[in-house]
Amino acid sequence: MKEPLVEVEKVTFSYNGEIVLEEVNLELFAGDFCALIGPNGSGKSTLLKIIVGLLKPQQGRVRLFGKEIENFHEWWRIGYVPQKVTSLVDPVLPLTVAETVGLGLQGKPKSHGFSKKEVILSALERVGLADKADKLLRELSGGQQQRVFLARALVGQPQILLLDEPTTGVDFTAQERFYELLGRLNREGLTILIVTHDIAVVDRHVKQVACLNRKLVFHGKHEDFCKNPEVCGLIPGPHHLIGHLH
Amino acid sequence: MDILYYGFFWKALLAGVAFGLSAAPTGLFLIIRRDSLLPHALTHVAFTGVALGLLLKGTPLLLALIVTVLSAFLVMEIRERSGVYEDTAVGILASLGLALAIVLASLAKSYDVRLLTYLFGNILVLNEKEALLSGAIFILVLVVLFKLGEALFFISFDEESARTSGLPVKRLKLLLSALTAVLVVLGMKMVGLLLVSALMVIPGASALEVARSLKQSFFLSAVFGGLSVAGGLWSPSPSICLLPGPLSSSLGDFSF
Repeated sequence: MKEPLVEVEKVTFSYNGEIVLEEVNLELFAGDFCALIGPNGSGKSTLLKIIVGLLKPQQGRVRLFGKEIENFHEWWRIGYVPQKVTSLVDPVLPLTVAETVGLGLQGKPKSHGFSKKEVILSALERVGLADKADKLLRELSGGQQQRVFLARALVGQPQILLLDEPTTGVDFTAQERFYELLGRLNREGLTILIVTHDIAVVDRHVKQVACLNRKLVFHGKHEDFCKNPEVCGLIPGPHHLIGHLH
Repeated sequence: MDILYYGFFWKALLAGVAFGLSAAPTGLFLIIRRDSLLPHALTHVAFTGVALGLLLKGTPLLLALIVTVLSAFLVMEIRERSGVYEDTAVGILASLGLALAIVLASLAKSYDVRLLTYLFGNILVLNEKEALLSGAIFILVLVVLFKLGEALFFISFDEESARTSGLPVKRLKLLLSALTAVLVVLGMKMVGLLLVSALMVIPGASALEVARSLKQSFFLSAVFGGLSVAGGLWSPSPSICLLPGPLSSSLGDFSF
């Protein structure tokens, strides 16, 4: 039987006594491309932070690649893109694109046979920004900055990519391009879990949808998501299925 | 330039430049963390250590070092555990440090020239041990920068992602706090408590204005730091004694 890469079991989490997640179960298998959606305050980002070890659940457990999160040390296997990455871009800081991507190599094993520069350029190539390596991060557009942070998450050759609302504050065209890029990475074998509000944009690319509203109210194929009006109604805005690329 | 013939001048120059080269890049991490007031607050705490040393008739510098390093760790813990704003914790530390220093100094009846030495510093009266310590700190900072510079930058720039990459964030923050505390105490003898934070912050701020990469920022901050201290030793004539500490800080300010 296939072992899940991420296994969330009966996870409960509360902020100051207010329950945000209640007995949430979620499994992610190799090759999955899952959108984690839900209304504001439904616990999406909290769940992602629990999965990457930034928050500790009050109850339940998380297993990564078959190991309890407390005993998991191979963080290079996980790439993480935090929320609002463009807010990290300091207009005063002269940080180059290559230097930003290079940070993703921290804590990761060295790639034998390749120099650090080659590894960075290869990650930038994957996101279509190899020609911007020496540019300052602050000089790029919001959409390009998003892709730089995606390259930073990819540079350590992770097996799973976790993204927390990566396209917030980015225009529609850049969002489309970003999700197309994620779709391509998934087809290349990368497992992806993305927290998003943009279900109308993302549903053309994802394979599964997991909908949170304190509890996990839906987890399945995205085609089936809107067949359930009760669950579908939790997400504001248009969320008809436009088509599917897979 | 008769002063160049004096051994104490060369000792001061070498120790001072070593300090400038170490303090400025360390300060740059603090600027990036939006924590550039930390050295200023630590100077107040170091003052408590000095006053305690005078009261106990011990070694003021050693007590200042212990109190400052412990306070730097404490302020880090307070920020992490209590959830107070970072600048609030620094503000509380600064006022507490100064208040305690005044109480202890009055108990020690040491409102005299000994206290003023630490307030204004004098790089020209450094002894051998202090000059060697400055050199050792310079080597330590150099090793830390080469070995852990990128990791320290990562936790300063994007702590959340640094945590998810498996870096020992807490230990790295402790290291940065300890380095800051040690430099504050060392700088106290050279430029004085009142101005040491200037040499930790202003060269880095100047470097960020002109650098075109992160590597350049660290290199230029060290250059500006070293030049500020060296320039502070300049005197138009051996008969005119300009205070090196304030002159170094002023040069740093002007460079910005």
